[in-house]
Amino acid sequence: MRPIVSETVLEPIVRVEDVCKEYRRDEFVISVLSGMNLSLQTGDYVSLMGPSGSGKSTLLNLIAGLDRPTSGHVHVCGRDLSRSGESELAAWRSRHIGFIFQLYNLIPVLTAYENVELPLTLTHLNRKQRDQQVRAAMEVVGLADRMDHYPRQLSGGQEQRVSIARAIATDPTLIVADEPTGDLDAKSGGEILDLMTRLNEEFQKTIIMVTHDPHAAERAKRTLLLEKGVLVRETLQSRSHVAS
Amino acid sequence: MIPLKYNFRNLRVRWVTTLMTVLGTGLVVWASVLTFGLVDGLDHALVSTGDPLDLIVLRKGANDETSSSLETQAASEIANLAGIAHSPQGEPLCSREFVTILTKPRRNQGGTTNVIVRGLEPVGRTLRPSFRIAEGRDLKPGVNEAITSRQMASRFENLGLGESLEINNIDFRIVGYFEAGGSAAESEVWTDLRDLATSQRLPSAISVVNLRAENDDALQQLTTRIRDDEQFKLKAVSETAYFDEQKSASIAIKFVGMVIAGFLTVGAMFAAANTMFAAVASRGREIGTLRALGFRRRSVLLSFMLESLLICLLGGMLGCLATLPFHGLSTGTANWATFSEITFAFRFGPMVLIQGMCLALAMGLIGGLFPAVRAVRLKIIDALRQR
Amino acid sequence: MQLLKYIWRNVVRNKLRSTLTMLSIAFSLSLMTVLYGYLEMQEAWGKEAIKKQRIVVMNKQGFSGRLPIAYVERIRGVEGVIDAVPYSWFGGNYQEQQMPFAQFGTDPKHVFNVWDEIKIDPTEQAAFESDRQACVVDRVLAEKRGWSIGDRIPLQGTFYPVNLDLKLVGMFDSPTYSDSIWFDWTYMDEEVRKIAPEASGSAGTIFARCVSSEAIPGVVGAIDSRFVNSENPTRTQTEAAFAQMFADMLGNIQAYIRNIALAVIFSLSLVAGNAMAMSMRERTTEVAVLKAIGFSRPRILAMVLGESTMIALLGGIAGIAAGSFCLHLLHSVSAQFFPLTFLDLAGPWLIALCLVATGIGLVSGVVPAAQAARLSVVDGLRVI
Repeated sequence: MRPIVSETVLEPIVRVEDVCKEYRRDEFVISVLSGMNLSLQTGDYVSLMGPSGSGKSTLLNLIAGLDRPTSGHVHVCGRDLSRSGESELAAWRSRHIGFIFQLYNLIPVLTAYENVELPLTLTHLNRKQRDQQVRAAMEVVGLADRMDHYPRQLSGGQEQRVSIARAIATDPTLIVADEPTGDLDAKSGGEILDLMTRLNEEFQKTIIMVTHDPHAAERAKRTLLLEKGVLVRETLQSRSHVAS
Repeated sequence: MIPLKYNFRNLRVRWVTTLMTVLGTGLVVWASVLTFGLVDGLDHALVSTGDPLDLIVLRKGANDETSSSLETQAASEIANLAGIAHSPQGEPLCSREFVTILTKPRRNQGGTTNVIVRGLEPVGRTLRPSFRIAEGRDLKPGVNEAITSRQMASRFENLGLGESLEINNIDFRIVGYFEAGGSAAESEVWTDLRDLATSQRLPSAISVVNLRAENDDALQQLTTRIRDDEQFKLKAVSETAYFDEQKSASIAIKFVGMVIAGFLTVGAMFAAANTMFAAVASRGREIGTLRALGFRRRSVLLSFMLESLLICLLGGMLGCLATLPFHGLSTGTANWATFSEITFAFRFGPMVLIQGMCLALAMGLIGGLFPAVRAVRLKIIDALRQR
Repeated sequence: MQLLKYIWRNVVRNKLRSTLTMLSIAFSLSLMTVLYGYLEMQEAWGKEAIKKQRIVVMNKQGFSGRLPIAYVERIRGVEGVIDAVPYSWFGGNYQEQQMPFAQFGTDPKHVFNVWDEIKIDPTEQAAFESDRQACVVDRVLAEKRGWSIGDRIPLQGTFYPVNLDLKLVGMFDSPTYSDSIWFDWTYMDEEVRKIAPEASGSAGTIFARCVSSEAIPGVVGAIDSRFVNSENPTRTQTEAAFAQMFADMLGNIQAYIRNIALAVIFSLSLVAGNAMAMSMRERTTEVAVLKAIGFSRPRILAMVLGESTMIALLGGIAGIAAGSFCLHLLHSVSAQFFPLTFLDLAGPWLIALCLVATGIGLVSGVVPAAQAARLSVVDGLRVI
């Protein structure tokens, strides 16, 4: 993985335009997002916060290409996701997005190494190249010595780190994190957040994160507060937080 | 493509469920292959591995040897027809035979059934595929001796070497066992033509004439000559055609066998589907993750179908293996065409085993289809939300 | 009642799983019903015959032996015999079909004495007795074939080298469907004598009716000993034993059916047990909660066993019903081979099949039930 040479990029890496998302439940129509606008530049580190039902997870899903808006457009890396079909989105996700989930979501029957390798199997890299990427990613997260462990043999914090290794293994454009510290104790959570800061500052990874945890939100450069599907406040963070 | 080791390991992790499903499907394949092996054995016994140039001459209108009878004069004239092959010694390969059916008891209180007893001239042996005496000796004409096959001896009373079969109050001593290439002849008891006819108080009785033609042309000519004869109402049927006819009687058994196998397979399909549905249900989040990471719907679908296939194919193999102890086990049933018993052995040849594995394949594919479809039906975000 | 309600709720909780399990059991049990029904039919046919006090006389050697027609008169004279008739199976073809129904040559003047449970209109019977080429058929067969009185029924002989030109003069009603046509033995014999005189004069078999069941052994002995030293010694047996002979011919098919049945039961127990285990695995917390509340072990055991048994029974009964329907269909399609209607067949063996289904239910639930009963509350409530 090489750090991206910083360049002035005019085009935002993520552009959410007038997006509305509605769900139908029997005859009821529930509006989760209305008229959402948002843009992210390369190297951004954004946290989305808000009470339950505010639409923050929905917004995350739309940006990650896991769901499609009812109206409006979502552009990520220049591509209009709302126009893409299921298969295209799948292929696109494998190349551009790295996922970090609250419950880690590692495949229980695969070792840590194999879990990290999984998204790489969707690329055209040969075995040797994949091996390089996996080892590099495991180095970054500091678990090179546990590659043959199964998820049940790892602690929660270690599982999440493997999950992060998986997220960065393909060198994606954007890292999407949904409550990354939600299931961890304070210490482990802190380690994860350190790691994420490092990804953003050292490796120039763009990160968008949904979180309840104010400690997590503190680490981001910007915090967006959502309420009832609308952006109500944006806060910019000072850059002086020290890693623990 | 999702790596196969994902499926292997999942099956191993839930090994109890996997094992029970494998055993369940295996038993079904076992029962089905047993059925197919039975049918195949029956078929094989009805096939004449004899010479395609062999003809059976019967009375016109008779469906089989046991309901046919020929006049002595007719039989003699047939022997003189042109086109009949000769042995190296110059003897015409033309055998006059008298066939009768007796009701005899099986061993071990197995009830009674009909047995074919055939009186034939020595030359008749040449007309059977690979005839040879396996134990004891061949019979001597004129002294009421008989020979039969080992299978018959083991299944019927009084047919063992040294024992005597009673025919119309006359005892016929069994002096030897013969083999005849596994053909229908091995379901019969043989004795001398005159001896049998005399015991039945019909000294000149002849049921059929078995002969071999010199070549294909001679075969055609003989068939036509015999059929068109005005004086004696006869017909000449090629041996292969004759036995094919009898097979039609076993079609009922084949049909029943297929139905049984079909029912059992459908039942097993539901079982496989059950297991796979449970697997899909418990791995909801996993499926969502895989799809979020970028694996296409069809990769996930294929993966689950493969898992189902793996289980069923494993069951299939076990089931097939479990039938092998039965290979060659001989048994008997009614040949409704001749109204007598035909002995046959279970045969598990490659065709039968392939049929069994195809059933296993069907179980896996069809049983696994719906669960696999369910696995990918869910939206990714809903799947991720599962427990 | 509470228990039953809870059991039922659990059964329908995962409709897909329960349905699949039930279908699995239903399919296999319907197959077993048909197979066992077939075996039952052989037995029941024999038992029915016992009631009619009929005996069958054959040549001792079997079907290929001669049974001189003169024997009929002599058998009539035996003490304990009400009447006797020749009963010669013709086995001919009709309109290109091979033996589509049973055809017998017999004595029109006496046959209804031997089969006194079969009823016919007296005028039709008289016509049968007076016309040598007349024949009578089972009314049901006539309806199936669309025959009416006066129709010509030609039969081509296969075993006997003659063709028979029969005229339908009457229809009889039989309590059990027999798929048969009766004609005059003398007509057939005359035709045979023209072509193959040495084959004529044989009655085939002789059916006789005795005064009572007690008389039968005596009659059998009397007949066989009378002919034992003749050119054509006889073998006499009850009609039931005669039918059993046919069943015997099927030989190991019976053993085969039983083996298949065992394999099926085994397989089903595994299938149902698997489904039950899967269900229980998902409910460990629930069971722990019930125990925490105060449900006793025996109660938990009963709930799980009740659930597995209910599923197996529902599937089993559906299967048995379907199989019974198939048996009924088979009878209406081919009464020659399936002579009894389902109602005639119904009996303890059906109950036995239900018990088999119940057994499968119990066996499949035993292990999950034991595990649930033994589960420690603390373990169950712990979130993994």
